[in-house]
Amino acid sequence: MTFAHMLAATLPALQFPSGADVVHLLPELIVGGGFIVTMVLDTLIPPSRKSWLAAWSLLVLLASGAVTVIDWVTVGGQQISVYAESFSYDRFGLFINALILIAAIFVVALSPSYLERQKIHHGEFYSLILAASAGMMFLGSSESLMMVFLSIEVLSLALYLLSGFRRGNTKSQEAGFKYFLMGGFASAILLMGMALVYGETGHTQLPAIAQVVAADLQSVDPLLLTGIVLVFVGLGFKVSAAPFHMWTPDVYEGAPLAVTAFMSVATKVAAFAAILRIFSVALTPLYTHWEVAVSAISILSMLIGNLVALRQTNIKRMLAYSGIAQAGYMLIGVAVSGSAAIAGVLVYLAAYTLSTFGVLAGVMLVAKGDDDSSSYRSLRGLGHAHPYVAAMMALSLLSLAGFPPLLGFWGKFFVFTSAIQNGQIALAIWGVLTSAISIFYYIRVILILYSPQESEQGGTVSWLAPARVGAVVVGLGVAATVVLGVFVPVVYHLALSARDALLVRIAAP
Amino acid sequence: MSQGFVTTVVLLVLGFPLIGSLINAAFGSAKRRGLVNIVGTVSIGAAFVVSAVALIVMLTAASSHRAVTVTLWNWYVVGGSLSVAFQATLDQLSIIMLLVVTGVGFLIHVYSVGYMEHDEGVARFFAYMNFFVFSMLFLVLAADLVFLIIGWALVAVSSYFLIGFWYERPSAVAAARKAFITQVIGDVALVIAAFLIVTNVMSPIGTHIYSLSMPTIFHNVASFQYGSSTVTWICLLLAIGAFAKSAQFPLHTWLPDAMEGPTPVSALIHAATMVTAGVYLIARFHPLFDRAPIIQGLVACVGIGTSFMAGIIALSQVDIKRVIAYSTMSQIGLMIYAVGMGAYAAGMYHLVTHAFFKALLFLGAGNVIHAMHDEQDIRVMGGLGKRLKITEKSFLIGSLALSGIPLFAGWFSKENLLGYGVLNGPGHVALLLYIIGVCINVLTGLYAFRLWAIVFKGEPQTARPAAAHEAPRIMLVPVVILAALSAIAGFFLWWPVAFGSVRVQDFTQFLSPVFTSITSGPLAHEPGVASGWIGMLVGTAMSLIGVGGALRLWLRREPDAETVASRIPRFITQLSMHKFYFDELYDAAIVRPLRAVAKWCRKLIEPEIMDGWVEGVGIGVDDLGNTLQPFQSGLIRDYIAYMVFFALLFVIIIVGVVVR
Repeated sequence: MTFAHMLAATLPALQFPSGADVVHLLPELIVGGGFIVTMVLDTLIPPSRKSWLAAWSLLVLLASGAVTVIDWVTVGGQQISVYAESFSYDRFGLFINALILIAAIFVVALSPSYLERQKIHHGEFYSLILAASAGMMFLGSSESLMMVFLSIEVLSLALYLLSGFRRGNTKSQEAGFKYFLMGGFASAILLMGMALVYGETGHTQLPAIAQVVAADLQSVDPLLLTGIVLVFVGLGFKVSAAPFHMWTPDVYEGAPLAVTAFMSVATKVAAFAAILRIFSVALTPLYTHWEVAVSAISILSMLIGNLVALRQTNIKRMLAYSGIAQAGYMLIGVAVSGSAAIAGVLVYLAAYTLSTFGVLAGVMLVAKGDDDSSSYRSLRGLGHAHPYVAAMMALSLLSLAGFPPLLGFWGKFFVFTSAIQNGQIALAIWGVLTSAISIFYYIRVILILYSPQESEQGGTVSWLAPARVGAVVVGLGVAATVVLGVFVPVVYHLALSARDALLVRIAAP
Repeated sequence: MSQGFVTTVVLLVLGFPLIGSLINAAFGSAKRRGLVNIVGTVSIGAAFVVSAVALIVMLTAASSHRAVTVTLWNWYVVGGSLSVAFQATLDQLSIIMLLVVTGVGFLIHVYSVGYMEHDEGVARFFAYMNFFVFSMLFLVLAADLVFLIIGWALVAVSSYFLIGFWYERPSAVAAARKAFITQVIGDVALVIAAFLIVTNVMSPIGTHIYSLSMPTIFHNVASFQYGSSTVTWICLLLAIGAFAKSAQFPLHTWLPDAMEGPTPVSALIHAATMVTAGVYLIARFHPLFDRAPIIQGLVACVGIGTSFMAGIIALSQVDIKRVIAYSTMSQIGLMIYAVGMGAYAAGMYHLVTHAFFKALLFLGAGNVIHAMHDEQDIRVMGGLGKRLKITEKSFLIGSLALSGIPLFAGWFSKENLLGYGVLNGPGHVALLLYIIGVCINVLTGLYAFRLWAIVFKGEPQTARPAAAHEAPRIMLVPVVILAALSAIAGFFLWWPVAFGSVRVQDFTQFLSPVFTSITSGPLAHEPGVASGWIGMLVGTAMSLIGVGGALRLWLRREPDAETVASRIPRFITQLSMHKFYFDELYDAAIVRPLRAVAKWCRKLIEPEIMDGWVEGVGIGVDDLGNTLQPFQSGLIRDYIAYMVFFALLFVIIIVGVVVR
């Protein structure tokens, strides 16, 4: 008896990867592999040529994007299990992949000139962005609690480093360290929750958990519920939902702009993918038990995010609180747990990705420094100095505020209508009321952009000419919020088929 | 016509002006004047060419296949049944509007190249103008209530931009605001009408169909009972919308003020396009209006009343553009009268000829203003005919057409329109309206030739007319083309002419399938031979009286106009001079009370009552913020403590619920 036979006998559940599994995870693996290659390349490229790495990273991301698109067509409505139900290969994961890749492409395209200006143009930046993207994409496809945890760790570790990337800056160091400690703690809570869920159900795979949970609805064990709540807290930390949002403003403010833009968008997308897979699908049978908690967190996020955002005078902090509020709106879609709500959340994520990035990229394109350029006061007069950049920011802010026919409006529209259709009218009303509040702080920034520069202190802020590549890429993103808002059925149908793919295995176990 | 062809036409016709507008907005500047001019004019010219091709193709189709509705895209389906789709209808009615808007619009754009030659904001100007044309085309093509409303509102907003184009002038800004506020009244009425239509339209078996598509609504128009209160309300609201756009009583006061815009703007939006949108709307919704006889009567009365009133006012105005503005209001009143009688084709016919000669008059006035260095007061003009020979001749042709002198375009359309008035109209007052209608002919002749005589004939009143010089060629060519159209358009629109192998029947016959395909209520009686002749002879005679009177009073000055005016009861001249006191009336009845209420609120309600709770909320939010602030301490141990606290809280709540 060879060792391999012994191993096979003792671990019957263990399966060895097949070629098909590799193919199914190709988009994630390309980015993951690209991360490793980038690390090697970094040592070979002279410091003055670091923008080659940006080009290389773009290539990797675009290749992964191409595979994602091809996969979308070939996979159809199926849901294929990969690596013994560790990952799921379906359109939902691919939709999430696409959003994360868009965010990553944006940040890589914008970074060279920005990093150069900040004098932090090191090659690790690109490898860390790729590592974080790979983690996020894996998270979007994870179908087992273990893989959810591992993916979160991969993306988080990269983001901890990125947050502290302005090494000489104490704020940035503080951000990185704070995020690391808090994130470690949140991971512990998440893992604790997962352990409890595993202990009660005997499974880590979501479809199996769903079956166990659905089979025994009469007596729900308190420990299982505790586990579920802790899992939600862990993921709620990642999407920065109140009251687990404390880290967000501090970290967003301290991190370099490029990193703030990337993590505010992509982390939320990936973590919401996990929330939807776990709560809106696998744990739906226990919906009545966790509904209250999710609703409460959603209501709190909308309230705290919007109210505190009113008082901010720095665009990074404002977007941090706005991101908390936006997480609240998306959580409405989780709290009402209809199948229409899932599609609504996906549209919302797309809108949020494009719009939040549009705002921060605008600052990134013209900002000289980091800390001073993101205060409201220094944004005055940008509308006259750089009308295109200001117009992109203004459109993105309007989209975030939910103005029709921009994409942001439709995100809110679908989520709120799904709440109304499920009879959760109070949540919808709360959402509408708080978004009315939010208009104030979004429009305020637009007003600042188009008001004349203050010259009383003599020191007028000057901007730099935006780098062309970045401007074009972000311009495309902003144009997409307009065009996709007008032709919203296109996005909605994509979201619907992503949603349908998610429900295949649950509908027919 | 095939669906594909119509889709292409719609996309091109809408696309050219929109792209032109975007290009000029994004890349235009006073430094790139050449590019701006070319983009601005070519975009409209291209749209005109496409429209003309569409007309030719339409003429080759059988008359029953000329109306095609296409769905360009399904925007969104609300609640699974109410679909909001961008549908466009290309039929006889919309193609005529397309040709007028793009054709006359193109000439005005060419003219603008010369007129705006020294203006720094030329890129902005052409961007607005193209956008306006786009909005107008969007409005006439829309076959879905939502998109109709969008087009309706876009027209209002782009006219706001254009009227307030010279935004440094407070009067221009005030005029733009006035126009926009009036438009919004109409918009609101139109939106409510749309709600009423959608909630009341039924299928033949009596179930709600909730459709926004206008062809579907008209197809199921039987769900609206003849003379029922529902259809009456709907038509009243539609009529209010039309009155706001077409500057009819009581929503007419914005039009004269809107002359603050550059003159090509007045020619484009106050002659050829925007103000005719109301006529178009009523014609488009004729299946509903045919079922609301009360509102038809009201529309006819308002039209004729506005027309008469504007004619009186035009007699005493001294601003060259205001005279033409009131004349526009008067002529639109006649069109509204026609569609109120159910004589839709007659109204549309006058709309087309009016677009030619009124654009001509505005552009001619533009030449005069240009020559006089932005002077608009006719009292300082006079004798300009010697200096501006071509403009004067063109202006004369325009005035002849406007007055309805035989064989000029206006004569055909106006006598045709009044011919319907002999037999049709609301009940007992039909004859009265007709008599007022022919009296308006006298007024028209009077004010048209008063203007011509005072501006171009006689002795120069100041030194400035003597120094005036003719406009450059680029401004003269459009004027001459429009003069030619005003002179001869009557012939080719009226009599059958050969068009390739196809015989074009006259205008009315071309349009009539639109109005007869859906038989809804009684149509207007066509004037027979006898009544047609009577109408034509009486109308022509009255026009000649008006023109003759004007020439005696203002050209030969025997008797002098001043002397005659002193013999007219004073209150009439005062009414005319003060535009029937409508501005004063609205000021006293609406603006000042509103201001007073606002002031009172500012003094009493605001600080005492409102500020109390608003500030209370503000303080509350502030306090809340202050309460929350210490939590955001920046200390990791605090953050982690809160996280654990809340996690436990949720666990206790959720588990507690289950255990209990």
